[in-house]
Amino acid sequence: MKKLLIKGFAAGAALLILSYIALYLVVSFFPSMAEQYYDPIFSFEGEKGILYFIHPFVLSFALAWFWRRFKSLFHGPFWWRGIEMGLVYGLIATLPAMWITFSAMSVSLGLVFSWLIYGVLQAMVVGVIFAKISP
Amino acid sequence: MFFDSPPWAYKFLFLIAAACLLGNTNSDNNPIKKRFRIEDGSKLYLKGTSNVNAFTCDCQDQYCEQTLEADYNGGYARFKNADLTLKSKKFDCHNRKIDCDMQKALKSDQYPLIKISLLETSQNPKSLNGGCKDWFDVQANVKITITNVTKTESIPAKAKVLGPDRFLLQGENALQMSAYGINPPEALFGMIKVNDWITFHFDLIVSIGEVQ
Repeated sequence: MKKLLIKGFAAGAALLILSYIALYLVVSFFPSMAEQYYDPIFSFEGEKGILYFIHPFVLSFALAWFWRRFKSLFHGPFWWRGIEMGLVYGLIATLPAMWITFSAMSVSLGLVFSWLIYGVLQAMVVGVIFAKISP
Repeated sequence: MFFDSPPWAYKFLFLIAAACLLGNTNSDNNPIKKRFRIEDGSKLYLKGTSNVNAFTCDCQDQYCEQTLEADYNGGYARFKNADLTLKSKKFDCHNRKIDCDMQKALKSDQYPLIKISLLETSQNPKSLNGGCKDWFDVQANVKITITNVTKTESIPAKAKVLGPDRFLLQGENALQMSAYGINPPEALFGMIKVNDWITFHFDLIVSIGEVQ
């Protein structure tokens, strides 16, 4: 249990930092994409704003359980095991979610694609961390 | 994004136009009264920028005929009781999020009205004699109150006589939101920031009539 908490918080902290870096990069290098967040369908203000910052920890703890349950299926060096877990997560979770998001919501393909890439990247980062500290 | 506000700018331009027209119709120092109307086809809009985009907000205010009183001397006019109030929610930035942020920045719930007082105007009197068909400059001093902050602004414009009772008035002026106690809006946890300076642009057709 203690190891699960350590893994979850460590990976969550890393994802939180990653989320800020990603926001900064989008605003700096893809301003037209950042502009799309200035839309009523996005709400980052008020009490709901805290949910955005909790999300990295929700994901990290969920993936911590996944890693503990299925890590024996990933082989090779730790960095490759982490990347492979990210790809698996992207295939079975992020891709279908983004597919339905694009089909049902008024968001651009570019924005949805960026979420897909970001989701896979998040899982890869978490996977590498887990593979390192809990092989 | 916001900035304060274009609606008042429209009204204020209305007053500038009034000044031009008064100058064209009064030859003594007694106060005169005239009716003025901004015709259909007139445009007033705000242009602002953020660190990711540019935006335009069109003024959607309704423009009724209005009676103004002024003391006119040559190319100089001084106004009395030329106060206008307007609602701070008359924006259309073509994006509901920007509209909402603008109203929030203007504190429209706490200060629903913006007050504009035309103090004085000046222009070349020869331009108002009817013989000039070219553009001429108009300078107006106005007192603007937004979110309970009052400042005096000097607004440049250019005008053109379209006919005996009609003027075309064009120009633009930059305003600093923070000078009126308005915090430029932010989004995406502060990553997207609206620039403090905005510019309002106007292109007005103004007609004059007698007070009945």
